[in-house]
Amino acid sequence: MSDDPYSVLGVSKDASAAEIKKAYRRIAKDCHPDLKPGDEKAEARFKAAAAAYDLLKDPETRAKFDRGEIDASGQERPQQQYYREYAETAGNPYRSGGGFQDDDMSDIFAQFFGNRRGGGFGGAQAREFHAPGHNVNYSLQISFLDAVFGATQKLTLPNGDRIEVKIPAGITDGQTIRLRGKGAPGYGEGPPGDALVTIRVAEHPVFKREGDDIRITLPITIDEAVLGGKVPAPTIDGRVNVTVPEGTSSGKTLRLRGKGVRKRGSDKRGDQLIELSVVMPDKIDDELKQFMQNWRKSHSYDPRKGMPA
Amino acid sequence: MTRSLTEAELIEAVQNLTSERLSRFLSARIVIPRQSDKGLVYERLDMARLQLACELDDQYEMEPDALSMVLSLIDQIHGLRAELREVLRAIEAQPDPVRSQLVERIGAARFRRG
Repeated sequence: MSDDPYSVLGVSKDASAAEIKKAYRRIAKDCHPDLKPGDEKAEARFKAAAAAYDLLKDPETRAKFDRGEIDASGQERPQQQYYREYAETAGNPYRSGGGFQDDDMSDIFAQFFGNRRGGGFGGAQAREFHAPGHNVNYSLQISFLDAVFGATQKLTLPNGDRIEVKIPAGITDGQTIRLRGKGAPGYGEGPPGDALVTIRVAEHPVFKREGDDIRITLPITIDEAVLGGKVPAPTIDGRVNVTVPEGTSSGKTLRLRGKGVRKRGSDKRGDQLIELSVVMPDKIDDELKQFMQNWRKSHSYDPRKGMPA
Repeated sequence: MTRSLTEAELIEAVQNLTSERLSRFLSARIVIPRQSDKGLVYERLDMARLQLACELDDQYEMEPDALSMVLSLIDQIHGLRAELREVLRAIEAQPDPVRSQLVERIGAARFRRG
């Protein structure tokens, strides 16, 4: 790359971080090898810009470079595998048109082979056509706790086959699992397509997912809120006792470390967050009312202090 | 064929990919892992695709669904390029008179206006 990352990005030496980012974004848009496949000049320009940006985006390394403590060499990103190296291959499962079916292959080919299959060219040539079968989409609804802990579910295919879908612990709503070869049969000698099973996670009345954390709202009584104490709380592993501190207001949130959902690619788990909510008794009896009336006379306090009138 | 990657290996291999980010990308169907005896596994292609997704996410801070749409457009372009290449290869294999006729027709179509 050029020695001067500023000129590579086309910004001045005193450019702000935002200007540098903007300049990099513009070059990335025009030159990223995955967005401009087959353009070698663009690729060279992108690589230089990426190296320059890596140097300048961090204020510390930028300052070091400005002071001459480091130079622009050695900043090239490690050789990465660009998506385009895979994207055009016949085996790319994300390419529409991978399966020979009129409605999911590109219009151009569908028309061409459609004509051949019809009259005109005759059946002999059509039989010589080989292509992978198309992918078939399925949807599978699972319970909240099955998503948290993982489970094995059976899915019945239209042809009556039953297949096992192994749901890994911590799956999120909308994630899709590929079952290779369980889709539609191939054309000619082509391999069968895949079954794509999208997992839908049902809501739970108590537990809510927030990434790897689980949040619940735990109602407590006024005496628990005032005096504090141990209060039983549900977790996905069963009941635990949590300590409510003396003088707890609604909205206070306790954190149980490691009681959340397993993180992807790790054995660690998120946390459970317990938001406490003070709940009045069903009926305010005379005793409570009298106590409060007396208490108020000598213990007034203002929780709205500092709010605009 | 090269070995598939587990989720832990994948997060290690792809620059700037975190566990949380992978979850978000999976929910938007940016990649679709394959069920295997070792649990869900990812191919080299998925790895390159996630690398691109991370770069686009870093550069443009996109909603996962928007990112998924951009990747699907990129897939379509790559798909069309591959198909076009197949057609050109088929043309290449034709006898000379057929080829020159095709070249003439395509050339005329490309430069026709209106």
